[in-house]
Amino acid sequence: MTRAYNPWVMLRWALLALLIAFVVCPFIWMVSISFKPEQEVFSKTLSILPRNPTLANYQMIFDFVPYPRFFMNSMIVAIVSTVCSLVASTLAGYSFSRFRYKGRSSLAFLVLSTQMFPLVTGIIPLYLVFSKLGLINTYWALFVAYVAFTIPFCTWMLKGFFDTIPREIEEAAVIDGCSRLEVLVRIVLPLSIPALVATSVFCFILSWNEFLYATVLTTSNDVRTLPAALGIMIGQGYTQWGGLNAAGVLTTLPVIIVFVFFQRYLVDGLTAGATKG
Amino acid sequence: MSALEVKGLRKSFGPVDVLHGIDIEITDGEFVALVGPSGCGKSTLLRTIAGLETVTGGAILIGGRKVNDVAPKNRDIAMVFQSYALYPHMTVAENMSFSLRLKRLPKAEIDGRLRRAAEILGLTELLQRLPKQLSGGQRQRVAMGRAIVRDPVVFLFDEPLSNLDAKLRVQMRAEIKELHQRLRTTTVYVTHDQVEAMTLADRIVVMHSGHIEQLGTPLELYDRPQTIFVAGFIGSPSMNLMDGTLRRAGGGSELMLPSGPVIGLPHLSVDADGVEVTFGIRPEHLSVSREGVPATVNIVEPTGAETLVNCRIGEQSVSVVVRDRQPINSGDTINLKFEGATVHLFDRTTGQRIG
Repeated sequence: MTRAYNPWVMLRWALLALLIAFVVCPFIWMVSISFKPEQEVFSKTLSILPRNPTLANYQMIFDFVPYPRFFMNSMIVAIVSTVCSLVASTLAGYSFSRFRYKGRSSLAFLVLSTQMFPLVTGIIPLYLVFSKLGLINTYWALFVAYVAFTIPFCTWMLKGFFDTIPREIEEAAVIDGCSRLEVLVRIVLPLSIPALVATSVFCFILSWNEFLYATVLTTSNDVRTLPAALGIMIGQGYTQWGGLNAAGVLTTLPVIIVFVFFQRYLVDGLTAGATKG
Repeated sequence: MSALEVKGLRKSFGPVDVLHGIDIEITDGEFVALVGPSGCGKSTLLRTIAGLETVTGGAILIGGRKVNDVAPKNRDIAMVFQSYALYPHMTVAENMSFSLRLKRLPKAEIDGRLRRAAEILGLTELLQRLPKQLSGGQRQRVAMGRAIVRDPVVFLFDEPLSNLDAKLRVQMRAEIKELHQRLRTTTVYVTHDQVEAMTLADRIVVMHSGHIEQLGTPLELYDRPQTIFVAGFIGSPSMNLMDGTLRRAGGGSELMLPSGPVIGLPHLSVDADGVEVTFGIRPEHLSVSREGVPATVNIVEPTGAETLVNCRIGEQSVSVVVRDRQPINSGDTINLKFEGATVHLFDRTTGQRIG
């Protein structure tokens, strides 16, 4: 019997196809709507390809909504959060991986345990703290929030990777004349590029996509990020579906670009700790 | 002047004492091997000399200067690791010149030293390659090159050949010996392979559970091991060691094995009668003859140049090396000649040599 006719293989492919459809269909639908004129969006006959394709929706989000402002806000927040989180996690991960000190493992576990709480539980306390500090509706609120919830995952991911780098390489560098920090910068980090890229992509996508904190902690268009901005485009009575989906497409694009560009590193990085002996 | 001196060195990891007062003095240009079974503290001793481990007690002097609290990079040493520990993201040239670049030496001098070291080790063609593009032996050579360019007072080798296959190991062993004869840099070489130690070293330090068992030239250790441990450790195949009672017999003596058989030693005169001893004789000092102590052949292992015969005298297992090709088969009874051979006697309780 050839493999192609094996019913289990067929079933597996069918299941995979179903899953892919489940993930991809909303995207296709979003792209489709973004090119449709308004009357076609609400028409009773479903069509994937727009009958009268138009760029009016894209025109609209630039004319009536400060889309470039939102885009810039998102970029600033995502990039700054990623850089801060990466610096802190690198140092923390290296410390957990290499140094022996009292309370090291409990501290590492404590960092990990913050991942057990749903994000939503933090929103009210964080809001109260930020409003006391006068940070509501500033970039700082988002920086702090995003860095706080990406650090634990990044720390553990980088710790896992650092664990796979042989100690002897670092000892050789110490004998060659490196200080601890030089060992990290000149030897460990260059060897960790796949893990660093994977970790940054994770941070970037998480900060870029985050909706809940962005909605609660920002109140004006000056600092509002794309997901929050998309959220307020859904009106109570009337929603500009065409414009919303056009903005959705433009919001998703950077993430897709980042992902495609670094995909190889991302898969390498996620599996590196597990397989590289 | 001594290049390296270790005085009463002690090292503990928490409550565990790993080194209990080590004293070694190594003269300039000497090649010293540290051997012992795993866990004997030889690697810890080397790492303490390198400065990768702190000192619990005692002192380390390199070139007459106490270096207990000196950072590894300022100790004027270079180390070659078992796993080579090359920097994977740097080329051979970058690997070798890394320490010089950290010291910010002038570029011309770095290039000069790099070229000389590469020539000595035959790496000139490979300078632009990455470590992953090299074979095991080439990587080992780069690791040595990294040490040579620094021109240190002491080379430290931590089991540098353990990762190589048997044939390459013999080849690299010869290269290391040649290198040492050429550079005459003081070398401390850790290995668990006593053959490596015997062939390379001017002097060998045999270590056992954190103590020095014996320190001497390879042939001193082979000819006059001071303890049962050294007797069993140095030499391949290893020395036959048998417990028994030594009695006077005529002008000589005889050894009574617990299982009954008596081995006559007419050439060996002893003072005391009826002493409990551990008796040692090397397989190559025994011979098969028409007369002698009868033994039953257990296993015959021909290696070409010689044949190792494992046999039994009573319940005592004994190995013999036979140089000429004799028709000996498993199950045969042969006679072993002990007369005239070099024998070693050890006190059974203290393990120390008594004759």
